[in-house]
Amino acid sequence: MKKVLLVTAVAAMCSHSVLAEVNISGFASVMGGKLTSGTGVPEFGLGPTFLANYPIVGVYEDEWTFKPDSKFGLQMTADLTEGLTATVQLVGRGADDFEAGFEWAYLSYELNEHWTIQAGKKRLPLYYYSDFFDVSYAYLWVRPAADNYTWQIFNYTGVNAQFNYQLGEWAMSGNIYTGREDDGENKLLSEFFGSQPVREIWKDIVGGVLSFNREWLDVRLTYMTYLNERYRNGVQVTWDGKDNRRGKFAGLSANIDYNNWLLLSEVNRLTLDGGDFDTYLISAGYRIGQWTPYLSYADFDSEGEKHNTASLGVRWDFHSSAAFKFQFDDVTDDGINGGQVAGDSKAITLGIDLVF
Amino acid sequence: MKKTWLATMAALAVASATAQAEVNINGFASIKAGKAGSGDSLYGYTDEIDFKNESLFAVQFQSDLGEKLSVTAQLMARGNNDFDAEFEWAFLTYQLDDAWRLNAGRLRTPFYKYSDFRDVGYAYDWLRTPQSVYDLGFDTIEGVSLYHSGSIQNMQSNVQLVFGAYDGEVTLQGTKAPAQINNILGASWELSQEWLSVRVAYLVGKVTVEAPVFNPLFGALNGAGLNSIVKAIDFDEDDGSFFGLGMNYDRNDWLFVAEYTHVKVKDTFYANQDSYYLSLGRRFDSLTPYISYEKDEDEAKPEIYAGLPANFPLLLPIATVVMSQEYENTAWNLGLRYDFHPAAAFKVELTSSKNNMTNQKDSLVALGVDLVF
Repeated sequence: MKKVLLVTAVAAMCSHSVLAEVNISGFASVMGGKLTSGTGVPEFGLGPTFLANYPIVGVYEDEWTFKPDSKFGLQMTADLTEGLTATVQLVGRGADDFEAGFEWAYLSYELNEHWTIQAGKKRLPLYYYSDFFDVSYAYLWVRPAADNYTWQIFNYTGVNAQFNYQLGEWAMSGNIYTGREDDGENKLLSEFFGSQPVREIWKDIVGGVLSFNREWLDVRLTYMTYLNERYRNGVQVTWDGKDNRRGKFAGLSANIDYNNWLLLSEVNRLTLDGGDFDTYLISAGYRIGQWTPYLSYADFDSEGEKHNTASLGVRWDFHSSAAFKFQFDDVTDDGINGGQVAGDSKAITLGIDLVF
Repeated sequence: MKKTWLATMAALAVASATAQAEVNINGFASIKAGKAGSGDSLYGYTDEIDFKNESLFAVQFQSDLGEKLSVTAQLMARGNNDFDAEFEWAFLTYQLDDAWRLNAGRLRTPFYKYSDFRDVGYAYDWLRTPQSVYDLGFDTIEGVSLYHSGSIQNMQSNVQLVFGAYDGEVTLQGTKAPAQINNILGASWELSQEWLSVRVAYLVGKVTVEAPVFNPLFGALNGAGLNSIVKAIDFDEDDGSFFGLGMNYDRNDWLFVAEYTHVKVKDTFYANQDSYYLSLGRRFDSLTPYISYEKDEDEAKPEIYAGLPANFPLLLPIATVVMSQEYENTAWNLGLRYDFHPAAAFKVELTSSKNNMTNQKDSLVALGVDLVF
């Protein structure tokens, strides 16, 4: 026994990579942008601001900045053979000053051709674009609509089971997951919606995703439930005298890719504290050779917080694994009773997304 | 079945092992230890031996995507940041043609001659770049940079134009303060031939620095109707400029390097800063001893409060703040580089630094290994 331990320790120290081959791939986005106009929210002392990314607080202001949507990711996958792989994804985002952190860190074990079990840290697959939110090359726009992708928690650590089956003409795939996330100092809640450190806990997360794909049609259903606990400045937050509250998230998306037309849509509802937070996005694009001009509209609606973004843009696939994008966003913030987020704004963003 | 664009993209994004382009990995490391003289402190060292202050590890990933496009990411862990990793470089390169190249992302700001490889200690002889000059407290910007390389007569010419913004910390009177420098615009030009190179750089930007420590004073000044004094002190989108001049002579095993910089920020209490260094070295096979002299001269702006009456109650605090920028420091460095390995060098350097305002002298010895892989 002692000898085994010793051997393991020696192997760990020598980093003998005789066991697995490691593949490295990655992605990058370099985006610059600025406001063309904005109201800010005078009552919060907030100047003109376009909040392009809620969870990581990606913010454009009056002057050119290249940080809010720029990011670099390195993905390493070690194939340990016999169905076992280990994957890590190291991401540095401009909004976080390019600090490098593990966005993914999980093991996968392929049970059979239909089922794969995974365990570790992953992205929380709430929305259609959650899994590859950082890989902007993989979607049409500069970013998935900020009004939809607003939730402060976007990772979890746990286990999940992925499956895929062919049902006649339909390819069916899905994912069932459970886990928790304990974010010691949540950026959105601590820095944007407040000035005190907020520890945000989503526990007892249980969710599932089911996708159907057939030729030009893609339909995805998502559901997740969790228990929320929160500490502000170390003091537990209570809601109606209780120190936790349950949230339920459900969503549907349908995407069509037909004859060079792209029609993308997503509808989601989070029920929390008896209130509903409804989001949807709809987008259309038309591919003309390397160029895909697009329009999109996204909306967030709750009791106090109400905002929407109309966007107009173009994607230019100038390279086999890189795209140039230009986008104009027009945000309307109709928040009432202190429910405003960042006020109205108009902004332009342009830059390059790529994968390698 | 024909795969749609949508399906292809989604598969591409979630499939982890779709390595399409080859990724090259290399890196560099420095392990250094230092100790200041008894009771002294210099460059982050105290009189207790420290191994973290100037040690660092970096791994650089570079991938050529073909069709003139490549991507570079440098992951850096610095001892003085507890070896927390961050992307120090993260940019795309588009080779427009043989002469022109465009970089976009997080880039090195082309302030100094050694800006690009300041962290790659192996690339120069000193143990560290001369701190009187290399002292702005930040090295990177996010933005775009256009490079031109060509030749003039029989000289190599490299021009770099840069546009971007910096959002982070700057060093103000030796302490770090949150800052934003917007609309940074700059150019550098280097001309070189076999044994001589000269370089000039000029950058401008709008500087904003948060210094809440001044808020009570500013409040009192505003209350007294002296917002003009506040404006003359604070950093609020004020015009900053950087001018740098450098040269390098390397002939018959003699090495001479010199750089001069001038930094100012208009309408702030930031002193006009002149800094320079001169360095002379001699190569004896694998041994390179060197000696260098550096000077930092910061001229405060007493004209800010010159118009105030002598009995004005806030005169003393204003004068204290403004004149705290007055600074003059000189330093001598004596060092040795020993190339004991084809990709690694051992270095030792002695520094004696003198603050001419206070006559405080600080000495430092540091040694260590710089390597590349």
